[in-house]
Parts: sequence; C-alpha cells; structure tokens
Amino acid sequence: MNAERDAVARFSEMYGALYGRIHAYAQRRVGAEAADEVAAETFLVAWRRLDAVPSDPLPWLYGVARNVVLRHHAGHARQAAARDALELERAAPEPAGGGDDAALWEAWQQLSQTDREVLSLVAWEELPVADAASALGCSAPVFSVRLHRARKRLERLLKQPAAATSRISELSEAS
Amino acid sequence: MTPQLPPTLERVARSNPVRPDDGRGLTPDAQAALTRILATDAQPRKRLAARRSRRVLMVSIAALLLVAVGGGLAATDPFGIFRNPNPGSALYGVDSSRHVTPPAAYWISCPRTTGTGFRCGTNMSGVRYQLLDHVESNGGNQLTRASLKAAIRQAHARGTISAAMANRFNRDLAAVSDSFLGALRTMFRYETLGTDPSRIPPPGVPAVIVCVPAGHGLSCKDLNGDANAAIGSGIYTAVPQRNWRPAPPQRPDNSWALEVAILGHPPTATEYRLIADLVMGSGSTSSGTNSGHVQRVPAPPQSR
Repeated sequence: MNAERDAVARFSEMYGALYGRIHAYAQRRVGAEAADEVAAETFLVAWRRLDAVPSDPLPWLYGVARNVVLRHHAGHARQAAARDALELERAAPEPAGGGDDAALWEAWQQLSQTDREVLSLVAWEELPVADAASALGCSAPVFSVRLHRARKRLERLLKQPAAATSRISELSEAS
Repeated sequence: MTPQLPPTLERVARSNPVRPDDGRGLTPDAQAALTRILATDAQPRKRLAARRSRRVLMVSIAALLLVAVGGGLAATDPFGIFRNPNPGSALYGVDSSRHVTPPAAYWISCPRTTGTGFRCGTNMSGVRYQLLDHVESNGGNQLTRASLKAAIRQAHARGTISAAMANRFNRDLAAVSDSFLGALRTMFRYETLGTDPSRIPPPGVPAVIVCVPAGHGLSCKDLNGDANAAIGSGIYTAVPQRNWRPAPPQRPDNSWALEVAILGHPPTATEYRLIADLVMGSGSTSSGTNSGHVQRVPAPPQSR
C-alpha cells in the first residue's frame, strides 16, 4: 500500500513538474489540437512503466513523446497518405519574432525533419547533448555530429537565397 | 534560454514557437488527465482494452474498408493487402484467443532478421531493437449487432449522442447484413503502426518486429503482415543506424479496386455511413480512455 502511495506521489510530482515541457514539445509537432492527447499518452506510458523511468526522467519522456508523435503521424499518414500529418505540421505555430526570424523560418522549412529535430531538442527543449542523444536513442558523439551538420546546413541556408538552396537538405541527406 | 549556445542555435532558440508553461501541469484539464492516468491502475484490463479500441478508431475509413473487405482473403492474402506497402509501417492483426507473457526486455538485438521467425535477446549481437509497446486486445470481437444496439442505447441515455443520431445509427444497423458485421469484426482486429516516416532500414531488416518469450531469449518476426499477433507480445522498433536511407514517398492504399473485386460491389451508402457513424459516434462517446479527448474524426477517402 505504501509502495503504491509512493508511486502515485512520485508520478504526480513528475507530472506536475514536466507536463508543461512535454506539452510544449507535442504542440510544436502536432499542433495545439492534438497536443493534450500526445502529452497524456506520453505520461500514460510513463505511469505504466514507472519502474523503468530513470531518476532524471525528462530525456526519457522526450523519447516516449517522440514515439507517440511518430505514431500519431503514421496514423494520419495511413489515413490520407501523409496529407493530414503534413497539414498538422504546417498548422504548428511559426517561430516568433520579426523579419529576421522570417528568414530563419524559411530556412527552417527547408531543413530535413531529422535536422529540425536535432536542432530543436537543443535550442527549444534546452537539453544538454547527452540528454538530447538519450531522447533520440543515439550516443552523445553521434548526436554531436548530427547537431554540427544540422547547424552548418542551417547556416548555409540562412546565407543563401532560398531558390538556390531549396534542396540542400535533401542532397546533404543523400550524400 | 541556454546561454552557451552558438549564435545560430541561439537564434533558433529565440524563435521557439511554443515556450513551455511550467504551470500547465496544474491546470484543471491537465489534472483531470492525471486522474484518468492514475485510475488506469485500478482496472488495467478494462482500461487497456478501451485504449486500444480508441486507437483502432483512429484508422481511416479507407483503411477500415480495405481491411474489412480484405478479411475474406486473410488466409491466403494473394494481393498482399495485409502488409503495409510503406517501409517502416506495419499492418497487423490481433488474435484475441492467444495470450503470451509480455516480454520485459527493453533493448534487444537480433543476429538474423529474415525469414518467418528469428531469435533475439538481450545478450546477442546484431540489429538493435527497442521495446515500443505490447499487443493488446482491441475488442473487435465485441462488435455484434446486440452489442452495437446496447452501445447506442447507452450512449443516448448518457446524452452523448442525440436522438436523431441514435435513430440513424439504429436504422443503418438494421439495414446492413450479418456478413457485413462479420467484416467489421475482422476489420477491427487490424491495426497500423508506424515508425519514423523519414528514414527506413535496409532491405531484410524489419522496422517493427513482434516478439514472444522463448527459452532464455525471444522468438520474433516481422510485425508487418502478421495476421495473428498474440496478446501480450512485445512490439519492438529498430534503432536507426547509419545505413538507414531516406524513405520513398508514401504509397497510397489501392483499396477501391480490391473492394469491388472482392465484394462484387462497392460498400453501399448505408454500410459506408454506418462505418462513418461508428467511428464518429464511438469516438465521441468512449469514456475512460487514456486521454479523455475526443478523437479527430478521420476524413472520408477522396475517391468517394
């Protein structure tokens, strides 16, 4: 009985402290409408696997949330050959800011999904490299390389006119 | 804001479109979701079934019809309709009559990943997989005429569907044949699961496998196309590697021609509406599910 109370207390504390972070992550990826659901699904997994949740749960939760988002997109992809998922992604809020950020947003849109995910884990989720790597299920060195390449590609896109660089990301991915 | 970021990343950080609200977990909606999550421990079997049923309802009408009419071909599958055509995704059926002990290993490796079955384990080398979920009962076999009538009655009594909606539901239910309801049950056995849609593993490496305990290890197979996954089986996804490649464009389901070929006619307007109402009605009336939010109703296929 005490163990159950402890589990509830531990989970409730984690939920209260980190729900906002996971919800924001979900909202960026699936839009406001589905973010509640993705966040709830993520914490449901955490509740069901509470024994597996590490003492620093945030990277682990991001990893779970990422899987939930992928499944969400895959469900939509099956529904309408990814059309819905793409629409949801477009419906996500644009980066805030003025004209300078409009250029950033244009470059951002040309990055691959992988590059965007790597960059956002560090810049938006504010995760240290080791934690971001843990969220993606890769090693810290691999993540560092990915982050470096993604940053370079973004910098290249920011320096070059959009028309000339529209496929840089795809070409880089393929090479 | 992380102060040590290089200028480009700092610029990205400044553009964060959704900044976390640390107090969000304390809002009434979030606390209500917390209550629902904590309540799952009290009635795990019932809750899990509801959650999976809910997930099934997320499948598009097009996908439902594909599987519904394809059910008659499940034994032979001459057109390969019980495999998802898109690498990285899996279409599988749940066999509610078979239960296995759920494997608990989170990371496993498989020396070989081809053939109808292969062994994997925690102390092996090879392709690495990560536990994603367990196969759960989806309640498809409860879709009988009597259970649907009862569900309509209860939903109306609770006030979650209108009288007009209940009447139309009952009218359509009375108009469809038993064989069509049989197809519905087959349809609800099937589920789709997808992994990272941008990159896929090389040929011969399934993106998603299903495993059951076997001796000191696990007996696994490709989840895509497994028409009889036992309840409790572990669902594992491949861990991305350097040799993964960009995914080809998603292939649409060519379900329409198959429907006509198998049924001899497209689903009638009544049958089609019943499925749409079932998805919409159940999606808006199910209670006790994991999130407590109404599912977005899938758009009907554009070909109709």
